[in-house]
Amino acid sequence: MEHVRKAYANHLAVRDVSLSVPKGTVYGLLGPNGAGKTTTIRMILNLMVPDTGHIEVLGRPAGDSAVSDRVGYLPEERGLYRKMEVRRVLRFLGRLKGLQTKEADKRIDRWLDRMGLRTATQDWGNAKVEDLSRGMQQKVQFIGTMLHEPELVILDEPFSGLDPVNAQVLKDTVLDLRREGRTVIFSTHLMDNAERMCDAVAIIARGEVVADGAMNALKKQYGGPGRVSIEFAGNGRDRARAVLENTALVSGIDDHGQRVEVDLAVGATSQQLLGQLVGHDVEIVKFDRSEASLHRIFLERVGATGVEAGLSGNG
Amino acid sequence: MGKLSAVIAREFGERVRSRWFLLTTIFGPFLFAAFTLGPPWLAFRSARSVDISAVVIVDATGQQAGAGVATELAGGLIGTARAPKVITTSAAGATHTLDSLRIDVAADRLPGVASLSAPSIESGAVSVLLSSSAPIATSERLQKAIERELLRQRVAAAGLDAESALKLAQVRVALKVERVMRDGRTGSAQVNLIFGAGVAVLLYIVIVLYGQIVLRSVTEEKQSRVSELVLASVSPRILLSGKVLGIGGVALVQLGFWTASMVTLMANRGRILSALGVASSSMTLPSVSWTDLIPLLAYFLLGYVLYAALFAAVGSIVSSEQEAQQAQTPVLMLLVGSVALLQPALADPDGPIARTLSLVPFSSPIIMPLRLGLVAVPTSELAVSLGLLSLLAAGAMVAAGRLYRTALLMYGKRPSIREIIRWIRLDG
Repeated sequence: MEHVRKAYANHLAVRDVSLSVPKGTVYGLLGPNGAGKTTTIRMILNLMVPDTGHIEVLGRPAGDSAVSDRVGYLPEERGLYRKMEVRRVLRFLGRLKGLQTKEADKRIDRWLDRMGLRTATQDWGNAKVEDLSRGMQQKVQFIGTMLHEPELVILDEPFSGLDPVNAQVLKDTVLDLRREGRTVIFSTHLMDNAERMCDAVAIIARGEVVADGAMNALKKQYGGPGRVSIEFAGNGRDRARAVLENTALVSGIDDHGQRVEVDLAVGATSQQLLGQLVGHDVEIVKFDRSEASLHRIFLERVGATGVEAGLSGNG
Repeated sequence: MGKLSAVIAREFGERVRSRWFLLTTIFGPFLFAAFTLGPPWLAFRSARSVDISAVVIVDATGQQAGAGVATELAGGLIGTARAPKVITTSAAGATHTLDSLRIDVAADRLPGVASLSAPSIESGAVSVLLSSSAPIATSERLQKAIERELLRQRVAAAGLDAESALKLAQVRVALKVERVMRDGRTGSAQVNLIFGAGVAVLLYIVIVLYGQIVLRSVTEEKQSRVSELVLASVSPRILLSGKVLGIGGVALVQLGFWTASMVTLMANRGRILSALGVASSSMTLPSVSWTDLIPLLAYFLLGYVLYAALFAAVGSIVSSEQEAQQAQTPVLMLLVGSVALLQPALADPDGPIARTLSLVPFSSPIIMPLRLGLVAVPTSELAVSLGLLSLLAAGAMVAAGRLYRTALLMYGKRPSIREIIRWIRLDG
C-alpha cells in the first residue's frame, strides 16, 4: 500500500501509511490501541475505501473480486450466526469463498479434527454455535478463515481473549502456514508474540508507520549500540562502580544489586566494557550481550504520546 | 452468482427450518378458518341451544292453533323431539293463566310463554313473554312457527287446499348482485370488495412482517459482528440482495401456502359448514385468472423489495434491537399511512384519493391491488404506477447497499442524516 490516508467524520484514522509485505512471510502490524491498525486492515480487505493512496493485494487492486477468494480474514470483533449449526455456518463461509459444498464438507471435518472439535465421542460440528464455549467459537471462526486455503491470511488481534492453550494452537497454526508458503499479516500489541513469530513488522502510531522492515534489520537500525546483562560475584559490584559510571561506555543502567542491565553508550562496544571490568579486577559470573527487544524498540518509536486522544479505538 | 446463491440459500434455508416458520405457516389457515367458519357455526349452535320444548303456549283461539304451533316447533330440520306444552283456555281464563305463568318466567323457571288469542288469527298479534336468560333466537323460532300455523288457519278458513297454498306462500328472494366492470368482467360486488380489501390487507401484513424480519436480520448481523466477516467475502450489494431475496422467498412460500389454503377453504366453505350441520349459502369466489394475478404478484414483490431495502437501511445504522424499534418508525408510518387510507379508497376506488395513492410508490403496493379488485384500472395508469414503484425500489436497494458498506462497520452513536447522505453518496 502506498500513501494511504483515511479520515472519519471527527478524526484522522490513518494519516499516511505505506507498507510492503513480502510473500511467504509472517508480518506483524504493531501499534497501540487507536493507532490505525484495524482501519489499515479493513482497507486492505476493501471493507473501507481509502480517501487517497493505492493498495494492491496479491498483485491486484484491493477490492478486485478475484482477490477476496484468495484471502482469509479473522476480524478482531468476532461473531457467528448463533442459532446456526457449526457445520452449516462453516459451509456457508466456505461457499462465500467459492468452495463447492462437497469439498467444503471434507475440509470442515479435517479442520474440526485438527482443532479438537470432533472426537470419537463428540462432534461439535452438529451443535449450534450458541451451545459452544467462547474458546470453541474462536476455533470455529479460525476454521472459517482457513477453510478455503487462502494465500494471504489476515488476523486482527488474533490472540485477544484466547486462553494459553488456544493461543499456542494458533501460534502453531500460523507457523504451519509459513511453512506452507502462505503469507500471514497479523495485528497485535503483544510484542512478545510478534517478536517470536514475525519475520517482519511495521509499527504504526498516530496513523503513521514509525518503523518497518525485517525483524533483524529493524533491531540493527533501531536497537542502538546494544544492551549487556552482567552478574557479579563477591564485591564485584562495588569494584565495577567506576566503570559503570563512565558515560563514554554506559548510557543507562538498570540496577538490580548483583545483577545490572547496561545500555551501551553510542560508539562503545561490549568488548570495551568487558575489558574495562576485567582491568578493574571485577569478579564476573555472567556477561551477556543481548539485542534490543522489540518491546524496547516499540516504546522508543511510539513514545509516551503514541496514543493520540480521540482516535477510534478500533486500532 | 455463486456467492449470491449462497447468501440466498442461507437466509431462506435457516428461516424455513425454524420452528417459527412452521408455526406461523400452519397457524395462518387455522386462524382464517376460525374467522370464516366460526361465526356461522356459533350462530347456529346458539339457535340450536334454544330448548323450545320448555316454552308454554297458551291457546285461547278456540281453533287448536296452539297445538299447530307446537307441532311446527317440534317438527322440521331443527325441531325438538318433544312438542312444547299447550294450555288451552278461554279468553277469560287466559288472563289468569298468563298472570301465573308470568311469575314462573320472571323467576326463570320457564324460558317463555306465547299467548294466542282469537284475534291473533286475523291480526297476527301474539304476545310473548321471555325470561331474561332466554336466547334471542327463541322469539325468532316462535315467530316462524306461529306464522306458518296462522297461514294454515287462514288458508283453511278460506277453504283452500292447505298444502298447495303453503307451497305458493313460500317465496324466497335471493338477490345475486353482479357488478359489471368497464372491461366486461363481472363478479359479486360483495365478494369483490372482500377480495380487494383482503388482498390489500394481506399484502400489508406480509410486507410489514417480512420487512421486520429483514430489519432484525441486519441488526443481528451487525450486533453479533458477523457482518464484518461476511463483507470480507461478498460485496455489500450482494449481501443485501441475497438477504432481501432469501427472506422474500420465505414470504412467497408462506403467502402461497396461506393463499392456497384460503382459496380451498372458501371454495369448500358451504360443504364444510353443512358437514358440521350448519345450513349456509355457498360463497362464489371471484373469477381471478393468471393474468389478474401477475400485477398482484408484481406489487407484492416490488413493494416488499422497496420496504425491505428501507428496513435494511434502518437496521444497518442502528447498534441494537431496541434502537431499531425506534428508528423504524418513519418506515412503519409510511406503511400504516397507506392502510389508514384504505377506507376512503374503498369508498370511491376510482376517486382522486385512490388514484393518487395508487401512483405513489409508498402506498401503491397496497392501494393498487385493492383498486384492481374493484374497478378496471386503465393499463396506462397501471404501467405508470408499476414503473414508479420499480424505480423507487431499485433506487432504495442501491442506496441501502451503499449505506450498508459504511454503516455496518460503525458502532456506537447513531449517524446523523447528513452522515447517512454522505455515506450513500460514497461510491465504490
